[in-house]
Amino acid sequence: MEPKLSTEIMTGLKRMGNSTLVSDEVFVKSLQCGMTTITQPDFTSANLSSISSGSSKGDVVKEAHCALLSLFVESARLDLTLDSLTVFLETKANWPQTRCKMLADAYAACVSKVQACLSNISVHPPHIVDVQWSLNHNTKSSSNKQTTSSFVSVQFETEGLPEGQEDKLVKFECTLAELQDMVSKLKEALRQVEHIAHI
Amino acid sequence: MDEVDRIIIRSLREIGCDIEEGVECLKQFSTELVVEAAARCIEAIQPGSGIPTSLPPSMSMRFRIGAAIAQACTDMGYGGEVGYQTFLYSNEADLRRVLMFLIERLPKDGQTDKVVQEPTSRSAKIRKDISLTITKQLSAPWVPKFCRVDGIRWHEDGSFTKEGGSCSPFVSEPLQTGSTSHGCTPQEWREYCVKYLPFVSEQVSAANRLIPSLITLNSRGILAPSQQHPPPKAEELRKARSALLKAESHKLASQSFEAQSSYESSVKLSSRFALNERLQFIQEKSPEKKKMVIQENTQTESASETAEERQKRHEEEEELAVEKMKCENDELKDRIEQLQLDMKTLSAKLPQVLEESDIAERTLMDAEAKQAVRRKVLDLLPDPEANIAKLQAMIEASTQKLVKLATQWEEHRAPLLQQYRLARQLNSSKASESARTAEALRVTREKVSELTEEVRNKEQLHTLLQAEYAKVSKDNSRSAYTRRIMEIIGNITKQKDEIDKILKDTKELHKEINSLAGRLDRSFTVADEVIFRDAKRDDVSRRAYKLLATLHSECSELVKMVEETGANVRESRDLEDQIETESAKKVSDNLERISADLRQMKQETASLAAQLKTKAQ
Amino acid sequence: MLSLSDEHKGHLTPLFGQPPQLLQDFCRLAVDFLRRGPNLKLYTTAAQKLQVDVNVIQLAVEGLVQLMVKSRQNNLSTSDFRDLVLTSGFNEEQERILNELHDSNKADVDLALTTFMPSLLHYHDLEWRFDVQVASRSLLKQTIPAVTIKLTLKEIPQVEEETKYKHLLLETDPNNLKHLIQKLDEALLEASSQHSRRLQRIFK
Repeated sequence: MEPKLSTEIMTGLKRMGNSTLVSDEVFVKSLQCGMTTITQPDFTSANLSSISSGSSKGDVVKEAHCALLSLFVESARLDLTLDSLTVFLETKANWPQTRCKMLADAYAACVSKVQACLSNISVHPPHIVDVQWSLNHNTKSSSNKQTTSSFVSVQFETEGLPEGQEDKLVKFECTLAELQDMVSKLKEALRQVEHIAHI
Repeated sequence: MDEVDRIIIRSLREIGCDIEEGVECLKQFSTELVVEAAARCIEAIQPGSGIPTSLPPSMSMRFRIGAAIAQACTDMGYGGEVGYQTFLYSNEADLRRVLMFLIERLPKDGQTDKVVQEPTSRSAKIRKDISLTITKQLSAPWVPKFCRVDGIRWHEDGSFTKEGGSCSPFVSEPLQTGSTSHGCTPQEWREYCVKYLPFVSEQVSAANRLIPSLITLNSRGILAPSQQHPPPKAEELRKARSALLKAESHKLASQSFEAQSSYESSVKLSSRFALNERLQFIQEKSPEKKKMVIQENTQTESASETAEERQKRHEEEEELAVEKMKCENDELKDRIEQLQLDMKTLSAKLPQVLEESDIAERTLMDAEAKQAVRRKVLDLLPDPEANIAKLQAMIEASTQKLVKLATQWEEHRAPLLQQYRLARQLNSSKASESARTAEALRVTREKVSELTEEVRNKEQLHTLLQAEYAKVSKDNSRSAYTRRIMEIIGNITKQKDEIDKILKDTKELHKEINSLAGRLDRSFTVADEVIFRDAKRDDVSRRAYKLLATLHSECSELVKMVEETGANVRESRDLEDQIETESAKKVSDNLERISADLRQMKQETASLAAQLKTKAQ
Repeated sequence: MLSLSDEHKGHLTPLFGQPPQLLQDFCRLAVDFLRRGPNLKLYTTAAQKLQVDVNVIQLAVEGLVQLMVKSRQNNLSTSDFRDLVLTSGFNEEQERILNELHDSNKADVDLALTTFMPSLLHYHDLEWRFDVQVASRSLLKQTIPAVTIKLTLKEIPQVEEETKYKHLLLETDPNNLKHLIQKLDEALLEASSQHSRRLQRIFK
C-alpha cells in the first residue's frame, strides 16, 4: 500500500528530496518544523520563517513544507507502515536513503499523535465523562409543610460540544425506583459491550 | 471417584503428560508426575509462565517450584488452601480438587484454534480490533477528564483510545501551495512565492482546520489532475494583494522599499520582453500588476501618515518614467509589426525563386553533356577508317572482357550459392528445432503451474481435513464424556432408588416397632390392672404381679441395651470412616518424606556452608 | 392554633347561614376549581341565581379552596379543623359538610401542592445503542466504541398543563460507562443504607 498523492504534492516531495534544491540543514529544520506543526495544532509558527530564511529558495521550502504535511497526514490517515513509506519515497519520489531514514524516524515518532488528531475530527453527541449525584430527603417546602419524599439528583458532565459550550452539565432528578431502572438499563448496555468484547 | 480420576488422567494425557498405561487413579501419582501435571496445566492456561515440568534434585529448588505452582493456582483464582505441600507431599483429595480446578480452566480446543488462527477476512479483523479496544478500555482504570488531552487516552503499548474530548468538524479551506502559477510569468510568480506566500499552516484561519484542508487539497489534486486551477486571475490576485497588504501593514518602514523593488523588477521585465513574441500577453498582464503595486503603494502611503514628502515626489517621477516608457513601447511595437509584415511577404516568395533556379541549373547540365559528345565526334571525323577499326577493336575487346568476367562470376557464384543453400537449410532446421523446444518448454511450464495449483488445492484440502479431523476427534472425546456422564447419572438414579427403598423399609420397620411397642404397652397395662386387682386377694397373684413388674423392667432394660448397641455400632462405623480418611492423607508417609527431605536439605546446606568456608579461606 | 385572616373571612362571609344544599354546591365548585381551575361560566350562572355579583361567588369559591389548602398544609386533625371552621363563623351543620369536603379531597390537595414545589427536570426514560466507529473521512482505520444514550426527561406539569418531554442525545465510552454505573450504584447503596433509612423514619 502506498499513499495517493496529487501531482502537485508529488512535485513538492521530489523537490524536497533533491539536495541541490533543499540543503541537508534546511531539510532537517523543515522536518522538525513539520512534525511540530502537525502534532500541535495550536502551534505558533515562529519557527517557520527561520527555515525559509536559511535558504535562498523560499518558494521550494514552502512547497516542501506543504508536501511534507500532506505526506504525514495521508500516511497516518491510511495507517501506513514504515517500510511501505520508505519504499514509496525511494521509488516514487526518488529520495536518497539517508533522507528516507530520517523521515521514517520522524514519522514513527509522530504517527500516533497525528492519528489522534485525525480521530478528533468528527462530530458526535455530547460525551458523558463523569457523573455526580446527591441523595435528598425533602422534608418541607414553601407550598407544603408536611411532605416527605426522597429523591436523587443526578448530574452528567459532558464533553465534546462545539466550541464555546464546553463542560455542559445535564441535570435531572429521579426517584429511587427510577434510578434503579436507569442503572439496570446501563448495566444491560455494559453487559452487551462486554459480550462483544469477548466474542 | 474413579470416573473423575479417569477424566483427569485423560485430560492430562491430552495436554502432553507422560502418564504410564497402568495408572488409573490419582493415588498412583508420584510426586514428579503431580508436579509435571500441574506445571503443564498452568503452561497450557497461561503460555509463558515458565514453570519447569520436571523436578530438579536440589531440595530448595523443588520447594521453590512447588511454591511457584501454588502461587499460579491462587493467581488464577483457586479458592481452596494450596501451598507447596499440596504438590510435593500430595494427599489425594486436595490434589484432585486442584487438578479439577486446573483442568476446568484449560483452554477449549475451539479457543486455541482462534488464538492460533489469525483472522484473515476484513470483518474478522475489525471484530478483533473492536473486542481488543473494548477490553482495553474496560480494563483501564477510570480517570477524570482533565487527565486526558482532547479525550485521548494513551495506553502503555503506545496505542490510544478515544474517550470523549472536544471534536472539531471537518472544515477545510483552500490552500495555496505555490507550485502552480496563475497566469502570470514564472518569474513573477516565483517572486511572489519567495517573498509573500505564507506557509500552508499559516494560511488557515483556525488551527484545527489545517488537517482537513490538507486532505481536501490532496484529494482535489488527485481527482482533477489535468484540470488546471480556474483561471480567474483577478480574484487570485486580489487575494494575493490583500495578503500582501496584511503582511506589510506590520512593518511600514521596510514595506515601501520592498514594494519599490518589486515594482522596479516588473518594469524591467516588461522592457526586456519588449521584443518578444509574448509582448501582447505581458502588456495585458503587466499594467494590471503595475496598477496593483501602485495602488498598493498609494494605499500604504495613505495608511502611513509618517511617509515623507520626498518619497511621494519620487513616486511621481517614477510614474512619469513609466508613462514615457509606455510611449516608447508603443513605438517599438508598431515598428515590429511593420517588419513582421515585410518578412512574411518575402518568405512567401522565397520557395518560388528557389524552384526557378533549380530548373535553370538542370538545363545547363544537359547542354554541357551534349556538347562533350559532339566534341569527341568532331575529333574522330578526320581519319574515319582507322578510327572505325580502332573502335571496332575496342568493342571486341570489351565484349571479350565481358564474357570473361561473366565466366569468372559464374565460377565464384556457384560455390557461394551452394553454401548459401546449405546454410539456409541448416538455419531452417535449427529454427524448427528451437520452435519444438519452445513448445515443449511451454507445455512443461503449463504442467508445472497446473501441478502447483493442484498441490495448493491438495494442501488446502489437507489443512481442511486436518481441522475437521481435529474437530471430529474432539467430538469423540465429548461423546465419550457424555456417555460416561449418562452412565454415572444412571448409577446415581439406581442408587437413589435403592436408598429410597431402604428408607421405606426403615420407615415401615419404625412403624411396626411403634405399633408393637404400643400393643405391648396396652397389654401390659391391661395385665397389670388385672393382676393388680387379683393381687389384693390372692397371694399367687401378688407374686405374679411382682414377677410381671420385674419382667417389665428387665425387658425395657434389654431394649435399651439393644438400642445402645446399635448406637455404638454406628459410632464405630463413623470412627472407622474417619480413620480411613485420615489414613488416606498419608500423614505418616508424608512425614517420613518430609523428614527425609529435611535431612537432605540440611545436608545441602551443610555442603554449601562448607563450600563457602573453603572459598572464604 | 391556626386562624383565618380577616380578609379571608370576608370572602367566606356570604356563605355563613346559607342552607346546607347551597354550601354543598359551593363545595362542588371548589373541588372543580382544584381539579380543573376556575370556571367563570359556572360562577356567572350561580351569581344570576343568587342575584349577587360574580366576583362574590368567585371569591367565596377561592376562599373555600384556600381553607382546604391551609388546613392541609398545616396537617390539621378533624377536631382542629372543626374548631377552625366554627370559630370562623360557620354553623354546626355547615361544619359537617366542610369536614367531609376536607376529608375526601386530601389527595387532590396534596397533588396540587406538590406541583408547586421547585424542581428540576425529572427522569422519564433511557434508551441506548452500541456503536463502533470504524472509519471516518479523516482516518480510514479506527475503532471508537461508543454507547449512544437517549435520555428522556420530563418537566413536572403545572396544573392544567400537559407534560413536556425533553429528549437528550448523549454518548459515552465503555470505560466511562463502567464508571457511571459504579457511581450510580453507590447512590443506590447509600439510599438503602441504615443511615438513610433512619433519616427517612425520623422525617416521617
